[in-house]
Amino acid sequence: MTEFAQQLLNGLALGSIYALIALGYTMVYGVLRFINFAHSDVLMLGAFAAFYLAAATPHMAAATPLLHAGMVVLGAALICAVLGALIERLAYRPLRDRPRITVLITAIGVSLLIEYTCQHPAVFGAATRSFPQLFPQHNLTLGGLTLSSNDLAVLGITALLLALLWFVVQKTKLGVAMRAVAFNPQAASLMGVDVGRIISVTFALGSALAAVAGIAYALRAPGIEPLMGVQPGIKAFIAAVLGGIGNLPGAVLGGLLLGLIETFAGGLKQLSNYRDAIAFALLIIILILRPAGLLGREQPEKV
Amino acid sequence: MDGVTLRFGGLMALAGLDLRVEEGEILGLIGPNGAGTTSAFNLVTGVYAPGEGDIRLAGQSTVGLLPHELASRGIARTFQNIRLFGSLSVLDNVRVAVASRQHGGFWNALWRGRAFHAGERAAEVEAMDLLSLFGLERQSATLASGLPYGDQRRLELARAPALRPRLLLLDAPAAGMNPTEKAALAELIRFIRQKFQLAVLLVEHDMPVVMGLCERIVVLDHGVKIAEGTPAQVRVHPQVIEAYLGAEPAHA
Repeated sequence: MTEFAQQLLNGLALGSIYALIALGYTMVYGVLRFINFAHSDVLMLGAFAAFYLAAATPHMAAATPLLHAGMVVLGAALICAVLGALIERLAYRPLRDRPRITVLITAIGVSLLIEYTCQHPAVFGAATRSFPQLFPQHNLTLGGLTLSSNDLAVLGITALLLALLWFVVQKTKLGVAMRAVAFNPQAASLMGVDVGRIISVTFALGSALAAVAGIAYALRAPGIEPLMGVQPGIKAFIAAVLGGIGNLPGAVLGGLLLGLIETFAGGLKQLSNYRDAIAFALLIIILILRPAGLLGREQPEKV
Repeated sequence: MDGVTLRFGGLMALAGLDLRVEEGEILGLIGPNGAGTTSAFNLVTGVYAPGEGDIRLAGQSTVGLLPHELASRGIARTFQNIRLFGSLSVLDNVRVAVASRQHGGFWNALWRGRAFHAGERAAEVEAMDLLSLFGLERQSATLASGLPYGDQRRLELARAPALRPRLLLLDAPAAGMNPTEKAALAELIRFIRQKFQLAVLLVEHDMPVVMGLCERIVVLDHGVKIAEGTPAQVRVHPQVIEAYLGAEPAHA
């Protein structure tokens, strides 16, 4: 029983990272109807931004560790927000009226460009570097359950960000404009909505979430390197599809579910080597039963 | 509109069209299918750019402006096939248009200061006021896609004044309505014009509605203006009768 609860906590911590990344995929899909493959690289850039920010401020880390961690996370999120919006402006906006497949291939190109530029020794280099422990290390024990301060921070920050995003999308004028653009960009522009600006904001928000996810991922992983985004990126993309692409609660649900499946499969000794295979087999089964995803609706073709 | 020409490939959709909507008037733009009425709408709202000629709003050229820039300069429209934001609530459909007039978006939203809260509140109140004006306040929380057809039409009409337009373009608002609904619609359009002090450019295929509502009518055929005048003048114009009924004059 304790074992089960422990795995549940671990699964939620991993799943919430997937959820943060999946939100970025699904938000961009919502407004532009294409998969931004460079999203996984923004996550990596977020981890590296945090790495350099932390390395540049050792005194602050020693004096006020929590404030330092907050500064690093916020800084990396801001840097990635700008980078995400920049990628959209430079790579995708010029192709706005082209077939979607063109944009998709461009996205793959942007992804490879970032990955291999960053592997160059003059940039980050291909070697793995150890990521600093941003949060003071404590293991909380509660009734036989162990929760590391990292996991606690990840769960807390994710919950906070999800609540904030939900508020922005549902309650603010900005959110209303985003949903209007997602539903029909042309009608939205005739209602006075600056569609280009909304798309930029969407990329910025999704990229900021990816940066936080990248840091959270780096805290759990042994280190960071320029290809570190690929694996969680693919999984989060699957999570977004699983939940119903374009659907925000779906992305969160898909992410958490994938994290749980993966953790539980890994927890069984005989199966731990087949962790990813089991996770993906389950996903395939779910998608056979519900092709539009768990919370997605089948969209009739627009006439 | 001055001498506006629009071509699609070799097809001339509009040829040298001059069109003028006076402040506060209701101008009808009619013509058989394919006459160019919808093209004229798309030119005025910036969806298409004219090949030749100029389009001005209150003396200033609008050629080259994007649709959302035109919307913020005071041009609003409704659609022949209703284009509400189906997945948004009735209130949010109006709020989109209200909010697009306000400034300061993203950073303001992040900061969430006093101005932000005041702005959000004002947008919601104004949207709600518009809904009650159009008798939709009780449905404000329903999804727009869940409204009955007549209410969807009314919501489209409620959404347009939220942009505070000087010119409202209505594309076949009476399509699919029964005579009672049409009478109510005509009443509603007059009310909107008076309440919001705007000019209306009306494309409509229902002749009784056009004749009863418009002060002036412009008739297009194959992208060319064939007649212009009061409803009484247009009704007896030989070319108009020909365009609608065919080349053979109808003998009574």
